[in-house]
Amino acid sequence: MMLATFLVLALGGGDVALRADKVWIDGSTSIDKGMVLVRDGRIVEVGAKLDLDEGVRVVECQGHLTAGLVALGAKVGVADAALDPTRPAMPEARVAHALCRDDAGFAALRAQGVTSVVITPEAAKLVPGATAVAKTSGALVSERAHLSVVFGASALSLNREPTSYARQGEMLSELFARPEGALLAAKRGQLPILFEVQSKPELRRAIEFARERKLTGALSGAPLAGELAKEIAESKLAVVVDAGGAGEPRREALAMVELAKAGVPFGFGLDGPRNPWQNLRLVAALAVRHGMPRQAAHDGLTRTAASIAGLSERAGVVKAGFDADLVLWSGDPLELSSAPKAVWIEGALVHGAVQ
Amino acid sequence: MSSRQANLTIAAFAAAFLCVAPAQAEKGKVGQKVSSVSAKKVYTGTGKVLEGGVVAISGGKIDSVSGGGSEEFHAITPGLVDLGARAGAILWSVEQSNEVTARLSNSAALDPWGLEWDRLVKSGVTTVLATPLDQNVVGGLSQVLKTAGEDSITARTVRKDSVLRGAMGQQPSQRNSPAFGRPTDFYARRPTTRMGVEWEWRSAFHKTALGQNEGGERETLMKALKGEVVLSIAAWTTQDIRTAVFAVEEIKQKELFRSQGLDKPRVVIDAAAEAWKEPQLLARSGIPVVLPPFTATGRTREGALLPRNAADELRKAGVVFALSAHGSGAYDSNLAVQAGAAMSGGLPFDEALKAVTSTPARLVGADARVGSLEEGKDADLALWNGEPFEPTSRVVAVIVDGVLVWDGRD
Repeated sequence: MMLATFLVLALGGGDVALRADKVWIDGSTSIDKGMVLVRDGRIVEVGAKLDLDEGVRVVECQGHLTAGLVALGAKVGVADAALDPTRPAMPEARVAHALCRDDAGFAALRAQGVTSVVITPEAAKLVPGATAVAKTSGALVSERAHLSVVFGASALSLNREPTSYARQGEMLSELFARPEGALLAAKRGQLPILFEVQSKPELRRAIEFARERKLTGALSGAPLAGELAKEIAESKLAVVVDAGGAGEPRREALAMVELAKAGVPFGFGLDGPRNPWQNLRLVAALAVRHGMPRQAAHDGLTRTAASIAGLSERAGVVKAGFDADLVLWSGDPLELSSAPKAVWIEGALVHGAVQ
Repeated sequence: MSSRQANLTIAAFAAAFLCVAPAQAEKGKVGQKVSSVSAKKVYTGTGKVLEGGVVAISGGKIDSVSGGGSEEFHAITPGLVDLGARAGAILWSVEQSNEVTARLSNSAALDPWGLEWDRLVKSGVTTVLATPLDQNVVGGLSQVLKTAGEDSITARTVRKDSVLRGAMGQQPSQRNSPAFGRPTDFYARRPTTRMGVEWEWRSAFHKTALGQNEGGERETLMKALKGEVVLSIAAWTTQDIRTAVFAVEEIKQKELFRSQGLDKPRVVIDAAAEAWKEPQLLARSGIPVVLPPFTATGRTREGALLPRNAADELRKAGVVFALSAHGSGAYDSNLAVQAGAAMSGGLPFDEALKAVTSTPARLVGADARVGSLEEGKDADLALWNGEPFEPTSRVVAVIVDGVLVWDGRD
């Protein structure tokens, strides 16, 4: 039975066209009664009316069709295996090597409409290693997507150096002064950096560090990052919003709105202490309620998040040539009363059913 | 509404000032630039008192201090200066993987959005020395900075990395254990006793003079020995104060240091609760002290005793001293209360005022900018509703760099 549902779109090996009440290309463009043609796990064509070959099966979908959501900074599939605080830096470590593809967390994410995820090593050292990008089917897309670099106090220890912010800064400077391997790739801009931060002073230090060395990537954490939106915009760094960490939901939501106003690219993270999987859309919805444009929230869940994840050429937009990672929602995807009815990853139905 | 009610003249109305009466500023307009402020008494912190004094301000600096003004407030004093403010003295302000980390700066541990600044401002404190936590023998470089202003530690810093901080006594040896048996973490480190702490200090000085250290450590300790940065040593008890003085005197006497010009450290002994037990020693050495806050029982940390008359006894002996509240903004233990407590122990008002303004500013080399009300200095003012330091008075408004940063008038 399970197998049968998985193969729904692949049956017959031919093309399948999904027709939905509304197809969201991205946060700013939608097509009423739009169609998406899928072949071999890829989107072939998108439009209001497609000129379909005979034999193409058309699946009628009631609801809104969007790109699959992209969750940033999750700990899915790694349990405690991504936590190694014993050394100050392990730049060559890869969280991908700790990944358990059968982890039940993936199913939970699929059920929330999440099709891609950036998995981060625990920020318990200065350089915990490389992040991984996976589809929530469990398939690994990249085993070295970003280099995680920690400016937060979580990297500080009481039984190995550094124990202080001062030495943390000094050690990170030393690491980037003589870079090898992953650090060298990061310094050259070949590997984006995920700067893990918590407080605003930490965030500011990360920005200064990046500016002095012309580093690129995203700031991850800092629920109140938006209060420094102007500085962040100048830095050209993106932001992974980990809502739910400061204990002030309204202030956090208003900060997110500032990020959108300043034009900072941002996506939503799953690493906040009160930001479990089912809250990914909730955080976006709260931001909309406090004044964020719906387009920015939608893109933060899809297009921009995909770009931060390094998937800008294949996910986050319903577009020809992109992976057929799609979600059928019972209604407007930003309304919490809407639920994901069906989720496809690369054309395969991985959650729910069309009817 | 009393005669002390607001009429801070706001810079925006400065043009109108010449032809019409000063515009009445709205009370509580925090963030506004102030162009002049007056009081029944202006205490300049240099020993002068101006009746009906006016402090004129432009560009964040004091333009003039003169008599003949109205009486918006009862009194104006310089903004208070606390050298033991403990701002940002969080666990992560000190690098405990080594007991001597002279080169490391605590500026990264300072949070411009921290809650301590507001508390300090409301108690009239406008400048502080922020030091790392005293868990290391030589903890690192410290910052002299304003308690209000921009949301940026850099912008608020008056003197960056200008004080090298360390400690004598128990604190740097607490939690350490000898490195035998099976060490489980790096608290199996030196020092474990007072003797060890003292040895670490002398070792750091001697290694510097002998060229046995390098890099930032050497550079920073050289600066301290040459007097280019102030050396602040926390020492609560008599024995630790004596140890600190003897360590400094050794440097000043030994040829090893003298021949290289390394015999000029500018030392301040902080938290010197029991300095009153060694007045002659301190007077002879010329080393100034900062007293910790007075307590109800007289007992302070490390078992040290601090009686109310300690400050006055130091004055009589000719020891230069400042008072400190260790950063407290609480109404019953803030810096103004410390001045009052010292007065209750016999210290004259003028001396108490100096001990919380011009003296601490001078001790950290910030007196060109803060600590007194004089032309050209930063317009940092504490505005009082009664005689300063009296238990019935309080700071009701504060100006930092010419900007009204707090207004707590009724």
